[in-house]
Amino acid sequence: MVDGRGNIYVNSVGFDMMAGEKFSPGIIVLVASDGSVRPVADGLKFANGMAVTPDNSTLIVGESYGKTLTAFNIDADGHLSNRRTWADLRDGVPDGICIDAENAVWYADVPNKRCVRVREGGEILQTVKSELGCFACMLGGPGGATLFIVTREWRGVESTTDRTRTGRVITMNAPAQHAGWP
Amino acid sequence: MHTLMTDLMFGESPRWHDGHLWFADWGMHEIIAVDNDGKSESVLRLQFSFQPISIDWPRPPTHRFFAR
Repeated sequence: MVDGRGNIYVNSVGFDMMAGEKFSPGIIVLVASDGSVRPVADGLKFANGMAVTPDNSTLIVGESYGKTLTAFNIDADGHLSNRRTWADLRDGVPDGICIDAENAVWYADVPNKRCVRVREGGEILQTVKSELGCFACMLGGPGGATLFIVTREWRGVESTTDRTRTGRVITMNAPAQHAGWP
Repeated sequence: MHTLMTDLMFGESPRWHDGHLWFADWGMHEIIAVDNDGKSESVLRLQFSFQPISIDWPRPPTHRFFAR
């Protein structure tokens, strides 16, 4: 993802889940506007969706195996510091995430087949159930308050590579508009 | 709840951009843009094994980036 200042953050799960490799922690790298590539975070338990707050001060990353949303301060040079738990999701498994104008985060959850809106600290504000696994979500639309969710049939890791065309984009009205990046 | 599109292989990385929802179909090696009425177009079809899993736009805007 790219923040509002042009910093590009890329993460890596850290192991080849599809090949059956056992868990190994993931990283985030920063690709700066000068083209340099530097690791800026490590030890992530399945790094997944990332988002940056509208003021470019905070990066939030979902850790699917850690079942948390983890936040970092973004320093002036794009480096990440002050790592902390933004929200403990209990049984939630975050995949794609986005931020809204009330400083809440929507996260998509594959195994639990839902999208959940949470506040910093972990309070659940809204849960949207789906018949399919929810892989990612994003606010947008003409008014900015449509939640778009990409979904797909999910029967465990093996189903990741099947060629069935069960994928969908579903939409619903959200209580707050899109904010931040992406 | 409303279904905007079906028949995708593996949608990822939805982003609202320029009046459309853009996303990657990882399984089909394709970037798709769909408007609010469900009218979609294939923006880019990758002719090699690269599987797009995340897309975004640089700021200031010039090109698009893909990660896999």
